[in-house]
Amino acid sequence: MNTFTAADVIEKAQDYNVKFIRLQFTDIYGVLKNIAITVEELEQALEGRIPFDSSVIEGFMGNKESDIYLLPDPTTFKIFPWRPREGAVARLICDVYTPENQPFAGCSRSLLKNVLKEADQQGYSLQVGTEIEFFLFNMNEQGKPTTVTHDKAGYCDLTPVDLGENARRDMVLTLEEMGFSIATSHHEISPGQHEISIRADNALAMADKIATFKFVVRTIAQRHGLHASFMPKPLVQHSGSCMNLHLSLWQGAENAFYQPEGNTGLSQLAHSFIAGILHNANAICAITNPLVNSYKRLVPSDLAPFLAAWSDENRSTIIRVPARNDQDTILALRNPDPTTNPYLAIAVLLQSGLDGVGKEMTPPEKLAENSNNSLLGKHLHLPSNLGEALTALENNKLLATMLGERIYKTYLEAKWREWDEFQSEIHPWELEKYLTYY
Amino acid sequence: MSEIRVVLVDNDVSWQKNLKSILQKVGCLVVGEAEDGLTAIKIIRARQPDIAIIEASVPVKDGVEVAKIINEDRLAPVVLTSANYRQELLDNAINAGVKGFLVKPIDESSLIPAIEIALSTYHEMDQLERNIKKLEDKLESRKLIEKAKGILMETMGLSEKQAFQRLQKQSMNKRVSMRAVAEAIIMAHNLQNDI
Repeated sequence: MNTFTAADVIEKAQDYNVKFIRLQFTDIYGVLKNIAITVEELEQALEGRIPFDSSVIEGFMGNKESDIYLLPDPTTFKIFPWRPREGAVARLICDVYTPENQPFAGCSRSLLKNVLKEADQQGYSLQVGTEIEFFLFNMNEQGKPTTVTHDKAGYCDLTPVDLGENARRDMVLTLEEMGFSIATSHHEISPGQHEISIRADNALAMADKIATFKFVVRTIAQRHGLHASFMPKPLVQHSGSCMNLHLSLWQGAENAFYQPEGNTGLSQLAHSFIAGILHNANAICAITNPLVNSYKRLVPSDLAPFLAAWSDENRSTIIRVPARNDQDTILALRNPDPTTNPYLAIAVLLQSGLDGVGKEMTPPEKLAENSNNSLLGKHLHLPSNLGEALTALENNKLLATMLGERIYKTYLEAKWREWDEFQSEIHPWELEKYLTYY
Repeated sequence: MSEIRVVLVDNDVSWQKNLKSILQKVGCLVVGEAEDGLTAIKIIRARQPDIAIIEASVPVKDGVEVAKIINEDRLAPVVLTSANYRQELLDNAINAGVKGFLVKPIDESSLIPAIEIALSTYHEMDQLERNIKKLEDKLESRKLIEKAKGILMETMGLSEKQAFQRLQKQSMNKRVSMRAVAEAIIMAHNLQNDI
């Protein structure tokens, strides 16, 4: 229940005998970080008086560091269900502030809040649901993760083939105890791969939930003697893991994507929103598919989304509009993967969509279910690697302005470094392929 | 003893055999065996034994760590075994919520009472915990109902009794708990105050 104030937090912490509180925040690259404080420091922390160093948000030490403060959002107070009652542990998700009491320019949560506020001023609010996939891998004798999957099961298999069922059930129960509303969970197509889908919530709450989700799933997996991995494409011969985002834009109590008249059920606004996202798709990828490995998942194939296009049924497009002509109308974004920073991902999608709406853009024709995707022009293909996506982001004024100089520059700098590092490495494939021949 | 289902965790195979024969002699059923901590967790989760007997120094994940997870998730009571007794190990075992500690060599006369006592302590604790949970829920509901009552009294000018009846009626009409009604009222109230 989101009715918490700072006073409620302190009261609840006492009631439940909380000893430690973890102040959590997400760095620019989407990694959840935290610092632990004791309950005695809680009051001070709730006033945003716990100082910190900005390098933790930006990921490297340099001369650009500045002092930051963590300002907890009291509505995010949750007690971890897997800790014992005596000396329980709770968490608070925080915004990052400057000593001058302004949102820190490198704080992605504050950035999303800003974008949502701007949308609100135009009369829109965004609801987001998600389906997240991940692998459960075995660990070796040293307790290190391997790429040996926990089972050999397939789509929606049951026990005893699906060995992950127990762990998955535990994850779902834990998430529910933490206030998640879980729609479905099942075994996915690849061996050892699972999916849990979370019912729609307002955009900020969903970004918080996604950040929490990964942490909870990994923790519970570990308690089952397994390693949960959100790596986009860990196994070359099997489908990778996605994080579909289901967007719906609301004007008051009305779904603005829905329009009863006309044969598509989609409003003009939805069309423009789609156009806006497709127009910026390549640059969006740099945020929603942030790893070198992300692009191995997007390699053209039957099930991978690799076309910057939209469709009702065609599984190769990044936007799909599932058939339901009512207030439940959503746009399903299929290219994001779970390693993205959820705050930035939702922010770039909303900003791009609203830009399309503002400029009344028209999307290209939607693709038919059985269109021959291989005949479509290369220009529709998403970036084929991280480098191409970063170049697209570099040339995108809309997102550059929205992300703000600090996040934009820092992100590009770090990601280019990651890409260059990959490029300068000699990979086993190259040796295998070339060494004997040349 | 009636059929007690046991998981045995020990990397010393001859010891494991030894313990197993004692257990079988007194009518326990060994439903799973493991030689390292990771496998132990998986087996205990899968077989859901009545009790787990775990050697402290098993590889990959040590016995105390395994015991801690097994206890926190309330999977089974754990009796820890070890060849060498150290105060530090005992302290860690207690922190991990272990329900019995046996120093090797272990014979029937020490094993059986340890198992029985671990089982009864565990069940007692389980009962108490359930009761606490129930009371906590009640207390939390009461708090929320009080708060909602306050809101109704303030915004609608009702007396305390009227406010309570209003909540009760709403709960019956909508067929949801009073707590859910109270939560809805508080949420609506906060929403109004936000705007």
